[in-house]
Amino acid sequence: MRPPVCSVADAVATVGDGDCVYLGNFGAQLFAVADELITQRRRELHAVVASGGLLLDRLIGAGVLARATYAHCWSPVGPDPAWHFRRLAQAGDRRVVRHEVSLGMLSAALTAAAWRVPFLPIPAPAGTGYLTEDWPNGMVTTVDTPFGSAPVVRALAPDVAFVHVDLADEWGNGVIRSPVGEALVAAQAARRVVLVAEELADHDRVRAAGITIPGVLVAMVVHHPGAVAPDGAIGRYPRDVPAYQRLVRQAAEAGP
Amino acid sequence: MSTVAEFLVRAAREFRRGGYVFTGFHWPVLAARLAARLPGAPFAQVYEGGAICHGIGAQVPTSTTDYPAYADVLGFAGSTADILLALVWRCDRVVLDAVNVDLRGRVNATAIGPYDRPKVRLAGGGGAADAAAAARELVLLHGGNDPRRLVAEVEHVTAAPRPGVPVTLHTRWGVLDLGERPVLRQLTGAGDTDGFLAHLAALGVDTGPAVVAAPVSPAELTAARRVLTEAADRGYRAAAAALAEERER
Repeated sequence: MRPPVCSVADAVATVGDGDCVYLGNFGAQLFAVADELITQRRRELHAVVASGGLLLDRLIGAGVLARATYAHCWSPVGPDPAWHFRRLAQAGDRRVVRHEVSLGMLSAALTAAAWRVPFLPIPAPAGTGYLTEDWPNGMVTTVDTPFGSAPVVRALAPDVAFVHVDLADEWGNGVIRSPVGEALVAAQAARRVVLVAEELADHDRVRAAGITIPGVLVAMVVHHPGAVAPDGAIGRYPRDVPAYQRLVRQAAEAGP
Repeated sequence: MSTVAEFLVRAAREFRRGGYVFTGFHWPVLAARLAARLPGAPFAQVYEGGAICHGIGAQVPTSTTDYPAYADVLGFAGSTADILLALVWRCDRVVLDAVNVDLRGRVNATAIGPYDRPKVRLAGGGGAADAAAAARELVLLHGGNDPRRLVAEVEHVTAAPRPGVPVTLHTRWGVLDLGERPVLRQLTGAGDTDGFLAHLAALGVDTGPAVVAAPVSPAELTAARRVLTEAADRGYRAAAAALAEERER
């Protein structure tokens, strides 16, 4: 009933090579978890990251991934390229299978998994490469039903979802203070959920703040202040612009 | 070609029309910030990550997911599905950045190579595809300094409006209505618009109806430069370049 509280290293140790891993949140990315995946030398992972950005780029550069599902992959500060991703794309490198989806498609794919249905209709962006060039790489098709035809996106169920929260209590209830992005539906879709909290608090305080992620979904809680830096967390710390710029320079200089 | 500050003032007028405005990454964020400091109808910004904001935040957000930068004005805090699948079609208009754009208002967010046939497309569409496809009115902002970014047909479309939806493109040279019959509505550049007009003519754009846009006021320009300065401090490379260009003029 009450999920254990552990370290990032302990939580990442439960991730197996080849797992499908959702890394939250949209725009407040769990760099602490990504760095630990790199440190523990995980391999062949399928990363699901809505705003891929530098987090996804670091995982690509470190050789952690075999597959990636994402909607963005560039640095939001600047903006600047995600250099590892860029080199991969320019070289036509197929070592990382790429599924590029729109944010709406990603939400629908996770929702389908959360509802335990194989696919979900989507208001597909007609005329875009998502449909005409199959950027989702097999995740989207069109079905004919007695109710009409519609593009549908395949359900996407991560083996584990790492979700960032501001507060977590002893029951595993979590509070997200920023817009939720796709974090809640990713938690509902995943087979296992790890909350990464800026602060642990008692239940009364968490309840008063408004529970975003119910503890019934949560398997483990990690207490890790600063987990999304250099991204920012409301009420805790701002997005670190110089740090972002340093990461971009490092990736650019890393070479092919 | 007008200055970036002048371009930003004209883009800000799209927000000053009021209502709920889906605000995309980059130039739209800066135009909205400027609009909030100029007279006009009240407007709310709608961001793809799940945010609706009434007002502008303490800092220029480095992106629409820079939540601490606008936490002080964050109203509704929902999900991407709330915004992109359930709400965006109710917005009065959708304003997006348009690095590469074609005559029908289709956008290619990121590409490497020749403008007309880029060799590599990088990931970058995000929620723009969902927002553009649901838009009742689409406004595109292109703040670059090379008219060849406007092409007959973009390769690798990352966002496209539905047929019949009004599409306006703001550039540093002029304002166009895009669609089946693209038209140059306003000329905004001073003196050196020949290259732009020749490019449009080659693309088959009707430039006949164009009028010279009203000048922007000194107060508007001052406000725009302030936004650009704030943005440069927050890492916006285009804002820093715009300020450097103005210093050289």
